[in-house]
This record gives sequence, structure tokens and C-alpha cells, in this order.
Amino acid sequence: MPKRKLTSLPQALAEHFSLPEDVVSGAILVTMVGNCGLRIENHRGIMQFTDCCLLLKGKHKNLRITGKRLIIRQFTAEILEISGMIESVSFEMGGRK
Amino acid sequence: MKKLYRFLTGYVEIVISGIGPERFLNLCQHHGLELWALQARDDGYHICISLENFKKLKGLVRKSRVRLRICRRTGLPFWLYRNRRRKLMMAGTGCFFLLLYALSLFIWDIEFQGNLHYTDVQLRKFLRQNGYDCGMLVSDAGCEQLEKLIRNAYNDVTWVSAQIDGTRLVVHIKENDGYLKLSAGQAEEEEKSPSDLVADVSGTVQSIVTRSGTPKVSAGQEVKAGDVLISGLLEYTNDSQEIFSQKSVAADGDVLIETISEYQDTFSMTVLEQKPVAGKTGYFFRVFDRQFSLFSPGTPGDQEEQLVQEHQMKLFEHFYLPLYWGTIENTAYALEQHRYTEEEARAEGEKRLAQYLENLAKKTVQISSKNVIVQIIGDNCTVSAEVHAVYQAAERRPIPQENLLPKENQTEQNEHD
Repeated sequence: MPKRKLTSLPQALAEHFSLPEDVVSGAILVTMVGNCGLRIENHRGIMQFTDCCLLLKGKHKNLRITGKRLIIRQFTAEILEISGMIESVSFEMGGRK
Repeated sequence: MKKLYRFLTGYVEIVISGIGPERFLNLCQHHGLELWALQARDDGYHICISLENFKKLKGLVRKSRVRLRICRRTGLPFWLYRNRRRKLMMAGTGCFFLLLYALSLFIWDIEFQGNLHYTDVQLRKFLRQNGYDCGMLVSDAGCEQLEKLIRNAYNDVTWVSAQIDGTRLVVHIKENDGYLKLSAGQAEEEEKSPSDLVADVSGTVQSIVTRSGTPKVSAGQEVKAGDVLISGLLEYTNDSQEIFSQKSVAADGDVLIETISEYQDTFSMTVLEQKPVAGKTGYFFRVFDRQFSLFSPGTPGDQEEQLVQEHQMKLFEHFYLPLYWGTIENTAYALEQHRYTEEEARAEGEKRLAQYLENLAKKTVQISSKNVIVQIIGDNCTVSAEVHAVYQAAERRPIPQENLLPKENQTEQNEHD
């Protein structure tokens, strides 16, 4: 029996109607410029912020950014911009629907 | 732009410390307060926030139970507050901007573009006589009246456009080159009327190509100035070789006449040369018509030359100000007698010959010189050469009446080819 692809309803709708997935599903949108600039949208707030680590809350998953000399250049309701030496960007379980 | 806006409105750098500073950040985000330059340091979070948003932090600070401390105040509002006692400085700054605005209401520079025949000095003098000069109000400088004035005063100016850019009056002029076209038209008219083509110099005919008329000379023939080369009379003969009819045309053709002429020039081997001896430089600064000088070299004497370089101050490309600065340089010369060496005399002679040939080349088709001899006798140097020039005959002369048959035997050229 062929395996079923695990997709949620919003994802399926976005795929079917060619809608932007971040708008439909509310996922975090990450735009990276090399390893020294990062722009994040659709986040739900800061959970932890230090000089070398930033943990952001997302709708489904949390976003962890590690690096050195991290500075939040801009922090508004919509956008979060980070600069510094970014070493890794990873997603963790968590978040809230 | 954002930085400038932030500076103009003012912002503060605060330090947040306590149990839940992240909660404070999230509350700011939730209330739409913009934060920037967020850094995590040992003493807490350093955050920059605008002055307007800072006033809304009280409730959030209490809610998140953090401690807030202002560590830096930046921006125009704080600067004004710090210098509120410096009334003279404020007044001076205000006067400066007021003066700048007042100066921008006047014309401080007039520029002419496109003028070839009329110099800037001439046009500026004309404008001054009609009330247009540096120092007049921009509102009084009527561009349309100025354009009419120049068009009426100068007949050979076909197009004028005056515009005001900042404190600068720019006048674009297009001069009439129609005189050249008119004279070319006149020449065309002359060419079409019945005429003979005559030699304007004496020499040997190098080649003759007749397009219209009767050739009177052939290649290799010697001609004198004034001789008819191509006649404008076409004669029709009968069987007994008698001319029974004539037709008058404008003679046309290419006749090249070669001439050989002698060139001789004598000049002295001793010349007076101006050698700079000493120089003095002074500086000046002028506001409107008042001039202030520093180390002024004074009026130049008989053996002195003065060079003045003036620059006008401008803020932007078109914002000229009535402030001028520059240098005045007086250079003294001593006249020294210098005797040419043989090489120098030869070079000077050849230079003079080249200049003569260059002037002659404007009227000739081909020019060359042979047998150039430079002789130095005593205190004089003589340059002689044989100049071979080829001229194209272009002089026209109306057909003499005595050559014409009675009217009944003539056919006029009615149609122009």
C-alpha cells in the first residue's frame, strides 16, 4: 500500500491554490544574507536572547540562532533583523498553534 | 534617512535588567513600539528607543517587573535643551539661515551660452544698460522681456532663451548663420547668370574640365590674371564658318592653374625677449563691491604684468553668492637681448615660412615649397623659397557687350540646369 504524504490542510490548500505558504500557515519566514545578516518575519516573540544565542517562538516550531556578537538591529511587531556572526539557524519542537 | 529622522526626533539608549527582560521586549513588540540596536551585555539589555515611544514604557516596565535606566540621550531635542542658554548662538544660527534665504532672492551670476560673435562683456554691458545686473531681485528679472530686448537689439540673433536657475540668470543665444547662407545663395545666383570664368592668378593651366561654356585655354598653356579660361558664349557657325547665332550661359568647369612664386623674408638675428624676473602674489576677498586684500602687490608698473584670478562662491550648482575670492599676481619682466644661434635662426625662418604657407593654403588646392635657403648675413637672416601653388579658378566676369551679336541672333539661357 503506498504511503500517504503527511501534509496539513493549510499546506494542502496553499499548494493547491498556489498561495504563499507563510501567509496561509503562519510559518516563520527567514531571509538570510550570507552569515552576517538575518531577517525574520512571522515570529511570536523572543524567548531567550544573549550575546551568542537567540531563541524565537514560532507558530509551530521555535527558531534558534546561534553565533557571536549578535545584535538585534530592528525589532518591530512584524520584522526582526539580526546582525553578527551567525553560525547556525535551527528549528526546534515547540511553538503554539 | 532613517538615521536623520531619528536624530531630529531624538532617541534614548536604555538598559533593561531584571527577571524577565524578554517579556518586556515581547510587550514592546505587542504594543507596536519600535526598538533597535538591541544588545545583550553584562549589565542587561541595551536598547535604543525613540523619545516618543519611551514615554509609553511606564506601564510595560511595571508589568514586566524590569529595571530601566537611561544611559544615553541623543538627538536634536536634547541638543536644544542642553544649549537653551546659548541665546546668541541660536540667534546667529537663525540669522545665518535668514541671510541665506535673503541672498537666494537675488541674482548673483549671469551666464551666456551659445554666443560666438558677441562677447560676454558686450552682452553683460547691454543687460546692465537695460536694468539687468547682478544684485537685482529674482522677481524683477523678467525673462520674457529680456528675450524680447535681446532679439530687438541684435538683428542676427535668431533665438534667445532666458531662465533663472537658483541665483543664476542663464541666457541661451543662437546667432544667425544665415548670412553665410545668404551669401552662398547670392553666389549661386551669380553662378547662374551668363558669365565667363576668368583666371585670378597668372600661371600655367594644369588641367581644364569644362562643364558648360566654351574653353579658351588648354592644359600647359600660360595664362595671365584676367584671361578668359572658359567663355560663357556658345557660338553656332554655319557651313561657311560664320557665326549666325549665340547662346549665353554661365561658364562652369574646373580649371587648375599652377603658379610658382618667390618667397623671401628677412628678420634680425637679435631679438628682445621678455624674461620673468620676480613675482608678487596677493590675495583678495570681495563681498558685493567691497574688496579686502591681503599682501596686495599694487598697480603693475611698465615692465610688469598683472594676472587676476577670481572665483565666485557657490553653495550648490546654481546657488551663487555675492562672495568672491582670488589671487592677484604681478610678474616683473626684464628685456634681454638674445641673439639667435644658427639652429634657432633656421627654425625661426622655417616657422615663418610654414605660417605663410598655412595662410596661403586656405585659398589653394595644393601648395608646396622647394629650394628653401636660409642665409645669415651679419645681423640679418634671410629665408627664401620657391612656392609652388595650384589654384582653382573661381572668378567670374559678365560677358563683355562687344562680344555679343545683335539681340535677334541671341538665345538667352532661360532655364537653369
